[in-house]
Amino acid sequence: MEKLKNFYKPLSAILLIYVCINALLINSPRLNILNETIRSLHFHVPMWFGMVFLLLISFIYSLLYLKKNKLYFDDNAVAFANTGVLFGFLGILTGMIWAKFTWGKFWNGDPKQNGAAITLLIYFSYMILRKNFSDKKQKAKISAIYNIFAFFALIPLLFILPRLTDSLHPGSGGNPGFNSYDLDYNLRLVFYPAVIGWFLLGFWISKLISYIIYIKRKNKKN
Amino acid sequence: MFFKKTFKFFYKEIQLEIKFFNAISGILLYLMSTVFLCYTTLHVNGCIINSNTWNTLFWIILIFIYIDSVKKTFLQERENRHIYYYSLIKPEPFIFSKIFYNIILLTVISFFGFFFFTFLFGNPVKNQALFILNVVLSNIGFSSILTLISAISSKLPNNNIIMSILSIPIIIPLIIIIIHVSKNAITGIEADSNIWYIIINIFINSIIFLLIYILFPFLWKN
Repeated sequence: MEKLKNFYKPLSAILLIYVCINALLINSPRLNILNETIRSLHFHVPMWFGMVFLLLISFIYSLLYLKKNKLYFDDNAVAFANTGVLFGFLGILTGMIWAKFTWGKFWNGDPKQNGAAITLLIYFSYMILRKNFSDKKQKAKISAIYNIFAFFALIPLLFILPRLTDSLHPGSGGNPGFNSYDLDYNLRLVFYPAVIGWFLLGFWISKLISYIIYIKRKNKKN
Repeated sequence: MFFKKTFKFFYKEIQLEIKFFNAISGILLYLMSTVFLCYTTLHVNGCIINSNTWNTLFWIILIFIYIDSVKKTFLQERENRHIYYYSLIKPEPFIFSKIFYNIILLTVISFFGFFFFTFLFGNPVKNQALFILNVVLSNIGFSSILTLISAISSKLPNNNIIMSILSIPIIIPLIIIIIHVSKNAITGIEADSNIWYIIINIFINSIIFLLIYILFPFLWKN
């Protein structure tokens, strides 16, 4: 049972080795403007999927904390939020490099770009909120409330607004999306493992961070 | 029962406000001098601002004054009195009476702001009804979000600065929606998207109300 529980760790490692080799070496479609930058698909897009899923898990742990009142859930909530922010930051960085070569500028004011930046701002303020407490129980409870509120603030930002406004991103504003002709069979073969692999890596990192927080708290008590 | 208690507390807030007139008059003076500051800095040698700048200035000034005026909801009353309220009333009617009071307060502030802006900068708004509807709807959202953040920040030691840190990132998604409708109202464009944005605004407001109804009791127990 214990082995099955930890199965995701070697799986993520194998998937990511496969992704990193194939993303750089596989034949990619030759398209205008995009050229070789299309390989960014395997690094940039999974970061966003990963970020949304990690923040969702953090949100669920915050709900569980309010229900069960155990500090274990709070450790996990903050660890997953931290990794989510890390993924978001990497996503913005890879996206900016890609945007420089395809759209011409590092920052284009695209609604999805702005949404990502605002997400990071909201979660930075969550981190700052946590720094201000001395009492652990109160810190856990109030930051859980803020985390739940913050996640709901993201729903219109990430899922509703980009659909209403024109975007330079594929899939909106007349640009072709994932499911249409442009996503090559070869790309799919790497892209789906990449999404799963990066997400599992994020999960692994957050679990490690939560263990570290737990051990630090135990040491302080003794 | 719920509505009766809410209304009673709401009436108490209004009575307090009428008795100590200094709060609202102070805020209005603050608003007036900020608008005048913008007027003196922008109207150098008789320059005239365009409608876009008008829109931006109007909302930025209002948002900062909203934050400063809602800040006092939980900070002005002492800890002892909160314990007294805790024995008197359930958390849900308590927070909703505060929110309704803040809606009235913010509406008064926004109408005064609109009046000062019209007086000094002129009125570029083509579709007055849509503009005012948008302002009133946005006040509901702002007052509910800011009241909850004020409750959160009242638990913290250095709560003056934390209120702005927590609230500004979290109201940006709402501002994106509001500014779109506001801009269309100013230029007089009869776009279908206006209705969609207003529906989203109402949808977000109802979600926030629901969240506060669920989350505030956890905060109040401390």
